[in-house]
Amino acid sequence: MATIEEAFVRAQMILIGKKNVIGLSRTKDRIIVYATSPEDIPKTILGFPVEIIITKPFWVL
Amino acid sequence: MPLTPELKKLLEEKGIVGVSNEIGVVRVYVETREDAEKLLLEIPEIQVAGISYKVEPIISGRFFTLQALDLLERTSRVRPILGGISCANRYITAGTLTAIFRDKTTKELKILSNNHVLTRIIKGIEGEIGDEILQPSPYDDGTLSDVIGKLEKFVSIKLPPETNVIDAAIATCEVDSKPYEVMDIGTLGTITQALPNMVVKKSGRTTGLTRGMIFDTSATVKVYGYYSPDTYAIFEDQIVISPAIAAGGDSGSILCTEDNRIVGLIFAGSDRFTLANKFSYVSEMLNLEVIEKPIAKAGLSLLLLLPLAFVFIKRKS
Repeated sequence: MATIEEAFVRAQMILIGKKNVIGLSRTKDRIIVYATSPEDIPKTILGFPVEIIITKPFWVL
Repeated sequence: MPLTPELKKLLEEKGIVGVSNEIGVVRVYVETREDAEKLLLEIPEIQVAGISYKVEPIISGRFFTLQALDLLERTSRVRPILGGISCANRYITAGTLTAIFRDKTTKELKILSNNHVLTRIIKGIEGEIGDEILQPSPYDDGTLSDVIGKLEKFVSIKLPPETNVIDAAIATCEVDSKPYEVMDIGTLGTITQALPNMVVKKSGRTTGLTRGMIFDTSATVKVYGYYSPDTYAIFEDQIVISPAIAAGGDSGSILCTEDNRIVGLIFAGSDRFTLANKFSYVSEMLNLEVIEKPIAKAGLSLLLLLPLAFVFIKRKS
């Protein structure tokens, strides 16, 4: 079984390049994906569930 | 007393900001001395419900909601300078002065804010060391007669595949200042770690003093607006605050706990969240000194402990 840190590194590799994905994080037991829409985001990564948070893009203030 | 038609008509006049009809006189609140003189000349007496009253002008100035008054102060010229007020590079629009810190080595005072506030990065280039920093910002009518310092050092914003941890820069401090003071917050204390659900506050140029909660303590995020509107920079290990507690022009605001321990440096946001760099990275990478809890409190504790220590030593001997 992979660790959450390994799953987070994997999430960064596969998701950060996607246009709708604007942020990634993790808790002890799940991967958090900040996205403008839920398309093409897997439900699990290395066995850890993925929580999708929908928000508009981040801009400098 | 309810507003009578005569007083209502008076209130519609230019320069008049309030009326009252108490104790046999009609008080008229006006914006300026000229308005008061004009009023006395034109309407020395007024009929209200068939009774004649003397008019007494009171020069009060224009009334503002307290929030608007606070924001008006933040976007005006403020001396000595402190955190939470409008400041920016002369070539950009507006941002917030984080606070005045000391350099750890030289002990010189430095103005801290975001890289994108103190440089020209949002115009396409990070700019030149020596660029003038204005207070208030150019958007708030700051001009070259409002220079408070010059761009001294910035941590360059890298584009993908490279990543960043801070959006910060410092400028020399060339005017009278209040080090470690932030408007509506007071004296900043030492740095503390961001924790989930921690209540935090910020003090910024656009939205003033606002509070939120830490939603995430270590996110990797894409932030748009550097070099051009279409490009983004990736920031790692960032603090996410919910709900959005900042708006355009609040960049550079300090993020701290209720008891003024420093948590982060606000730099970006969306419709739902505000993002902040961890302040431990900012202080380390820009060699800035933070202070322990306010000296006054520490000094008071020591003074209270001294008599006890004296009694203890005397008993021992």
